[in-house]
Amino acid sequence: MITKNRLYIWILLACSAGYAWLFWVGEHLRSGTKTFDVCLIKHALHIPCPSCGASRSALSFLHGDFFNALYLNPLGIIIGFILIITPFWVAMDYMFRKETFLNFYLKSEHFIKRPSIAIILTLLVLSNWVWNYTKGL
Amino acid sequence: MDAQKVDLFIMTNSKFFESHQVGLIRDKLLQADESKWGYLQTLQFKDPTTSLIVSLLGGSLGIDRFLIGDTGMGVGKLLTCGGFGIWTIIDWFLIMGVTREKNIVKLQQVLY
Repeated sequence: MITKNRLYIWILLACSAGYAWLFWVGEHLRSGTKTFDVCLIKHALHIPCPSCGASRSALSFLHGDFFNALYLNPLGIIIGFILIITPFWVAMDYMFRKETFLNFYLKSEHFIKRPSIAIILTLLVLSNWVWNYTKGL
Repeated sequence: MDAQKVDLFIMTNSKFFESHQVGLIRDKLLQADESKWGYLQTLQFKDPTTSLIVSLLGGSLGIDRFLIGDTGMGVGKLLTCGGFGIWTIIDWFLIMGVTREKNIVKLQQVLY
């Protein structure tokens, strides 16, 4: 089982990388230059993956354009929420010496592993993938 | 536990664990109670080679992490295009070790 420190450091590093990446993508979108594709599926198969467009979607969400974020990729909204909430949550846990985020993470993992939930989520991701393909992201 | 049974277990399952852990596992099994043998027989370990193949094919979608039971990390990989592609490549090298780690945790749950 994952330990508190390992998870928190991992989450903080991932959020920092996420913010840096979004800043970089945002600068390129503003100047109109093209960023390189980091998606291996897009490089190999020339089709978008389920999370392609999530950077632009998360940026739209952070700028308050909810409907554009939803259109580009609904997963971007989840990423936006994670980027906003988790650094504060982790900082609060460190401050008050609690493990609320770790408990939430473990409970969520347990919840997602339930077959009925896993099947629904898989179908949602697959339908999002098909939608991404038809949108031509 | 009977040495013959322990050796049989080690022979059939050693590929699921890190090589440096096998000696320790053998010692622990020899010390363990005979009643644990039934539980040990029912344990299903994940094959590191299978997870490597899954990682090579579906690593960008986090399927390798889902396979070994790291659901949270799997979701993380899925949401971020396999960690911007970098995490996917790192996992090609790490996933076999992580799978063996998961297997030893599963074994520990039975032994303790």
